[in-house]
Amino acid sequence: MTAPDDPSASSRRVTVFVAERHHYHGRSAYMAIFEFLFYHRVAGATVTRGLTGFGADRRLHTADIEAASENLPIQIEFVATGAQAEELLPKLREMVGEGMVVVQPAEVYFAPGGEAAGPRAHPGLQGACKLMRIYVSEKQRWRGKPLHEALVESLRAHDLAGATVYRGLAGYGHGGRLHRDHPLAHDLPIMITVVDTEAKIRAYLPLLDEMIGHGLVALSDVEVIKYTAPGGKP
Amino acid sequence: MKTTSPGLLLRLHIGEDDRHQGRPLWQEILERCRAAGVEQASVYRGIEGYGASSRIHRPGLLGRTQDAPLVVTIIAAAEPMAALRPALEAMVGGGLIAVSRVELIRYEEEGAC
Repeated sequence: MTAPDDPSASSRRVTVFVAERHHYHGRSAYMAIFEFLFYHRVAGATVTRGLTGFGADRRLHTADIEAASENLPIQIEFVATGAQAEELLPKLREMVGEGMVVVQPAEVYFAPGGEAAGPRAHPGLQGACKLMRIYVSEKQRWRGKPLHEALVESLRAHDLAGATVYRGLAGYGHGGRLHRDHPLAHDLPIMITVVDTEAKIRAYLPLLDEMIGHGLVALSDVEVIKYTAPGGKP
Repeated sequence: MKTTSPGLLLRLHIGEDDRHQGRPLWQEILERCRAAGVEQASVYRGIEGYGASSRIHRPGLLGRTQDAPLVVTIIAAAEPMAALRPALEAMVGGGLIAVSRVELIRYEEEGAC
């Protein structure tokens, strides 16, 4: 199936161990990891919750007695190509916190479908960049959730530097329908702005192509003066 | 279907209370844009700001800003934009109009609209 002398061409089976209560940026780490994998188009991933377990802190996590304080072990498993695993691992390492990631060589004997490219590492932002404005409607949906929410999640999963969603008072898109503020309609124009390097934005566009059925995107040049996180970490 | 082309993005900074011939200015602008065949135009309300008059507009007693700053964003190809600009410039009595060059990506569902 693949040339044995090219290590990046063979597959990897990756297992991520975290505790149910581990958090990453304010939400459960396992859901954040799962979404990260999903939006990076990993061919498949499975989350399982263990019955009992222990980790680096040597504390036993179990369901039966202290059912109220559940903090069970969670395992996320996926299979990726060597190259894709290489791209995903730095970010996974950051996301697992106290958890563990195990990578094993794997041979895919049978698998449906294909695969796609992964993300790029995130350098600090400075100088010539692109501003991307995405125009969609509030009522557009993608896989059961509002499209604009899914877009923000996918932008974050691709490590784009930031995204802001604006809801307009009124407006129309190139379908030509005028959208006005109405308490029941929820059909106002939405604009999402994103700033990052041109390479990062262009690498994200194939996913955007998949998610937006109807909409408009405008890219323009900007110069980034400053980009820092509240903790001072770029 | 996806198409890419160069275009222009115009931003008009106006006030919510601005009027044109008795009607809200933002509404007049949207209608003018639509009549001119502009692809995309939307109005956003800011929560606080100041402009050419240097008066600060900020939220009042009921949390609603009096004469809140509005931004109308208009996207079009160079030609319809050039045709529309004189009318817009005449309509905006006090405010700011800024233009930037953009690369446009259009997504259209086949068979839709």
